[in-house]
Amino acid sequence: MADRLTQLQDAIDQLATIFYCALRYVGTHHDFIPTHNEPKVRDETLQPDPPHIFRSSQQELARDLVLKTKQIEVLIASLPGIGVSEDDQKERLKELGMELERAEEERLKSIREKEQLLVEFDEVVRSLKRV
Amino acid sequence: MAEEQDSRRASLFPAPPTFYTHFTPANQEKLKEFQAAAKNDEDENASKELPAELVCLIPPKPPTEKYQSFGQIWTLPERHPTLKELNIPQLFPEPNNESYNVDRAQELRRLSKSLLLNYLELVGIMGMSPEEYAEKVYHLRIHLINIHELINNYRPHQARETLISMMEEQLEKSRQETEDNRKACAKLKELLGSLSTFDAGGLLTSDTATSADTVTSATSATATVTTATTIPSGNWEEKDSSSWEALQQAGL
Repeated sequence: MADRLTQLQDAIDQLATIFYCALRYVGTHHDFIPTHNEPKVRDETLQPDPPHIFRSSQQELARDLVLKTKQIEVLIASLPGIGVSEDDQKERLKELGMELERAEEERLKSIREKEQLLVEFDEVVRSLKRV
Repeated sequence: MAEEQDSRRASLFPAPPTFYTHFTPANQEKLKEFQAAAKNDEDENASKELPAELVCLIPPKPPTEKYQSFGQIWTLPERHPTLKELNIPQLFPEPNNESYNVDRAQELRRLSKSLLLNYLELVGIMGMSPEEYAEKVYHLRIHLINIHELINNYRPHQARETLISMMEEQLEKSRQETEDNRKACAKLKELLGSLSTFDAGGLLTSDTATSADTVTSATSATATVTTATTIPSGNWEEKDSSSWEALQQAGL
């Protein structure tokens, strides 16, 4: 999974695509309405959708738009490290580095201890196995 | 010529620059002679120019400010050009160090709202007078660029944040391992402790049929001998069948 910022960037790009798609759809699939008694205008390059489909498509596009915007808002709200300044982060990093070193020391110590004990134990077991 | 150059720069595998034909052994010889000559009479030759075909043989000095590579201009040291340098209006305030990140999320939210509003206006304009689209489209563009700029500025911050969470994770892991090791050690110590008090004497006294129910007398007899040699400090008198059980649990 991509990180939050990339997700956000992708969402923004998708939003722009939806912008374009919506306008384009309306521009290429709309029907004409004759005024007064004039004959209905025709445009061969247009392929009008039947009214109910046109309506539902419009609604779908609008829903997509709103959904995407909501998604963007959620993503913004969940950006990592909001309210933490760079100095805070650096401080925390230093702290963590030191703690990590300590923990690593402890870990190695415990491993040595364990190995030592295992050797001792091994001797006992060996002596028993000789039975 | 310019066109040719452009197409060469833009193609995926550009042809080598035309002067590559100058790099012949003969020319290199000539260049050496020339440089040797230049060294001999230094000041005089300062003005003397190299023949055209030799100029390209001397590598140019490394760039100090900016350079061009595959049609793109790079600055030295490498950095992201600011919006101002790109002649794009900046829609968010300059960062101040105090509450930078709070601001950034806020700005992003504001910009995305504004983006949507601009689109709405664009749709309105398209309905009324489509020929006036250009200005709104420009606004949309500026908004999108600004949002991306903000997001990209955020990246170092996120990188640090990710690093912090990774380090925390590692710390947690390391501590867990230490903890596990200590637990294992404690268990082992307990076991060894009970072994040292393992009742060799008690087993010996199994000859007198006190604890013959736990072990067969034949093995116990030999076992006690070896245990007795390894653990001489054992409490000989105490009978401890639980240590024997512990040993059995340990897979003996």
